[in-house]
Amino acid sequence: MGAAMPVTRNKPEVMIRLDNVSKHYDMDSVGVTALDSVSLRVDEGEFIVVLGPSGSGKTTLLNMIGALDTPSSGEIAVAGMRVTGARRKELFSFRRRAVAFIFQSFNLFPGLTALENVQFAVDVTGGHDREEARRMLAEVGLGERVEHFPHELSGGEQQRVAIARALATGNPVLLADEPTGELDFRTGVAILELLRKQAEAGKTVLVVTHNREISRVADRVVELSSGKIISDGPPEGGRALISDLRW
Amino acid sequence: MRRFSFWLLWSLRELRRRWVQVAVIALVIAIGTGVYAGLSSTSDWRRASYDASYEALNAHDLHVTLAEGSYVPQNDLQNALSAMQHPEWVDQAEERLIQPTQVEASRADDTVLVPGRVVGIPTAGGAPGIDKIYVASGSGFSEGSGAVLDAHFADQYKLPEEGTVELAGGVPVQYSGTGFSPEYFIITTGQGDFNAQANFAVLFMPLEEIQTITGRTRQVNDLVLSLQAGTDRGAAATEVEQALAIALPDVGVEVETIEDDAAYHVLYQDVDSDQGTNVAIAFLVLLGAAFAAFNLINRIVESERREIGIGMALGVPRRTIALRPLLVGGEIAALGVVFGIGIGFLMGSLLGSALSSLQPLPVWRTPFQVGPFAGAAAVGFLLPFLATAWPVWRAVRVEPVQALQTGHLAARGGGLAPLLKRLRLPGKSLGQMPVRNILRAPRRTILTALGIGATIVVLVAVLGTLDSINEVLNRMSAELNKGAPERVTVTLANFQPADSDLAKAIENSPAVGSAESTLTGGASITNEGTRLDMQVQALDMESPIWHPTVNSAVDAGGLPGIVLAEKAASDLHLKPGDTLMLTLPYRTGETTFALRQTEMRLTGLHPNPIRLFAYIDIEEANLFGLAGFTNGFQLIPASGYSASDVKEAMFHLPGVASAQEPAAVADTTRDQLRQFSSIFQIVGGFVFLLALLIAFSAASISVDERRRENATMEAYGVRVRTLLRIAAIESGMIGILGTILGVGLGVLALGWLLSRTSGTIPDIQLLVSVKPATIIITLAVGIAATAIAPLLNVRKLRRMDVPSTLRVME
Repeated sequence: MGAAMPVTRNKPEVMIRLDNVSKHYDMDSVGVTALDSVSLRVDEGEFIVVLGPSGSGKTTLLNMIGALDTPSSGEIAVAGMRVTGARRKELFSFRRRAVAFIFQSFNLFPGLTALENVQFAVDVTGGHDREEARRMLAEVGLGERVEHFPHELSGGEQQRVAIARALATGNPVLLADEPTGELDFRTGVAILELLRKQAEAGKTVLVVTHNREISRVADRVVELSSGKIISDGPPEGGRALISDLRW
Repeated sequence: MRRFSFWLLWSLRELRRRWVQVAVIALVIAIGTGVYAGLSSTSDWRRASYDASYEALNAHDLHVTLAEGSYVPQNDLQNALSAMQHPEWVDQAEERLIQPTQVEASRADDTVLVPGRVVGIPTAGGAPGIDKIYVASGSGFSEGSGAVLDAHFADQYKLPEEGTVELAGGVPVQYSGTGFSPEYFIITTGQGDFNAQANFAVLFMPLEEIQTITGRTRQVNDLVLSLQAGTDRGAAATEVEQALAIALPDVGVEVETIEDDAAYHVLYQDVDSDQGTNVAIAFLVLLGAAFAAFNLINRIVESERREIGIGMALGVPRRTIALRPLLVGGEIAALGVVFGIGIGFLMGSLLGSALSSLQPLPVWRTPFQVGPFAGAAAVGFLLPFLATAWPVWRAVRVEPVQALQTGHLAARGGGLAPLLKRLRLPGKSLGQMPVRNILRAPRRTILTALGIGATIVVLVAVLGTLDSINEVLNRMSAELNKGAPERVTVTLANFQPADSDLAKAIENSPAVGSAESTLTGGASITNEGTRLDMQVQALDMESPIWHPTVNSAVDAGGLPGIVLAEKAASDLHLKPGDTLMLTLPYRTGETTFALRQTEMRLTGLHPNPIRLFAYIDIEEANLFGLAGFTNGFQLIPASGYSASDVKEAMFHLPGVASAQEPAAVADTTRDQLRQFSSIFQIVGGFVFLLALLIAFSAASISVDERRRENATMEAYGVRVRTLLRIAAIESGMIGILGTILGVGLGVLALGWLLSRTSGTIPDIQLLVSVKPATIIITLAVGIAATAIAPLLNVRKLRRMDVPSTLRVME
């Protein structure tokens, strides 16, 4: 285990790097392998979809990259920081400065308005720009709903707030776990457009989904099955336009 | 049955998952019920122990005392009883000689010199038949000789069980044991104090011996009687008074029943007063526990609303849905009662031990009181069911779809949170979290604050009582030490001419700088049906040594003037300028006094909080028939001498009963208060534990309720210590709210408690006083306990499975 490296804003050649990452769980003396020797490289500005059925290990992979979980073996480096072997304190710092999460069930703070939810991310990452949160909400099309509490917003609007919150961190890697899972088609498409836009703006976006249709808009699709990568490459038939999606 | 076992199993699984919270809530209920049972039991224990102790020592039914300074030949008092209309009512009668004195029990490293009295008792049969002596250590009388030293005094100064003490005039007395009689179950000096053993010594001696020592051969001044069973004490007292008036017409006598005895009065009235006080304190603790338990169980069930909704969606009958939460409530209730028995026993053991050490008695009975405990346990048992039923009732009333939609475990952005849209908070969003969380759930905040507030009320009331009594002592010391902190007051064993050898010896002592004679006697004032006993002191009201502060002074207008304590005037419904009738002993012969009434004018009020003290000018000494006589002095030490030197010099003068600093009573009472605080510390300890448990369980449930929010924050890199800080600030703010509420209500409760206490110790003017230290301690307990408690959840936060928590679906 080497010493953890500081987080830098230098542009690494590879934004996310996984080398032989495995994750095993012991559940009542039964061993379960969630990830099995997964190796992966993701460049800056890539829009990548991790595809697989339930139990394939895709969320475990996302959690490893986001330092919410630790691998049983292997090496992970994200945004120039070696995550494996880092101390707990450094992992917290990593999450503040390198990655930002978007969840299927939004996980907004119910006691905060939309603006305050986004402002939270600005504050956590040490930002001082009081207008940043407002700008981010305007960017996701919620400029008029900043003072609403989450329960006063629709599911799509809540997910947009969640995206604005992730963007407000200014972190280079966006990790989205089934971001359209709770949304209708039209809203889901709008969310994908937003994420696609972030990748075009230079963010590395990694979306985990079981929906094969979503994978069509990715630069690259990594398919998992039983904890192993079974394919890695551009979507079958080439990248589709979001407007071509059907589900 | 099979279906019931299914629900029971499910509820037990829930119990296992939340075992820490369940155990803590059960403990909260247990402390409430246990403290209630323990405190409620003390009155029964005390009453039973007092009854048994008085019976064991065959306490007198009637007590005859002669006016101060009066003596009669031995047997005259007993013989006079034959003139009673019903002499057969008297079972036994024993004459005694009681003399004031000074007792020295100094050892190499400790000077012990205090006023006191010797009680000469008949020991012909080896021991007195009435008011027997309970020998606590050593041995009692044998063959009509020996002496027993008061055990309270001996314990106070850790004196050996047998040894030698010296009486005033340098008379050595060998004592063979320590003990006390029923009149001295509590030591009072007749100056409004109690538990005065640090400054008052009693020595029990054979009657003949004390007659010899004091030169009162075959003289007595005291009679105790026991009556035949079933005799009306009041009627017998009247007959005894009439018989003595016929037989001894020149002697003032007072006949009191056992109920009038100072120790008896304090002990039993204290029980009655304390019963209300204890129940009030116990009720507050139980109330605090009830609020807390209700709130916490409520919150646990609230977090199950989604499952209730699922049950409703599946068509499960409402009563079946209610079964599982009610079973959880029942399990908490049962656990609470079991814990409560343990806490009740612990509380009983601690209180019983504290009581028996504070109040030595021949018999102490502290059995487990089933009644009070059953009452408290019933409340403790019902409470979890009520707390469970309320949220279940609310949950099953909504449409299933609404119940299912309650996905967030935490409260939604409701409550008072919308207020913050208009009212902007300073600081960053993380800093605002505690206030937002509080405003989001005002009902929960208020219930938690009320639970903590109720415990704080108890603390304020308990500590405030000590503060208020201390304040009385401070006011007493301030008045009596005013301008002359080294002043020594001397009491003579008998009235002496002001130019007697003893008076000259006192005035001419090298240790004495200036001296002034005084005259002190017991008296009483009756006005509008209220009769108060007084200790009237005649002194120079403009004395350069010391004179009382006189407020609201008015001219006497030709009548003799008297200055009373503010409380005495208030209790007698008198104001300065009013006239009153003073009954005081008037000298009728060399050793006899009769009671006489004199009309006087209330010329002012003194600030001493002790009601007993009254002052007249020395020019009015003829009211006692004692113009030119004295029975006391106030002295100032000569240059180079201290008050201790003066006391030592006075001790060696025959005829000096006592010499002490006037505020010594206040100092010794203050010492006693420190001992009494042990009971308050027990209650305070449980209260602190209760506040801590309430805060801990509230914080623990909050962590559960907000685990999704906490997980999200962790995912965004917010560290666990920041989450703990947010929780600590939020909990501390609720603590502040509860503490402020508790302090406010506590001061009101204190006023109520003191008004009850004034019935027990009516001689003292108690005013509500809460010292800064009490406020600081209260704030420390209220805020510290609530702010510290969330930190105990660090393990829970650290072990939280963040990914799983974040993936919980709506």
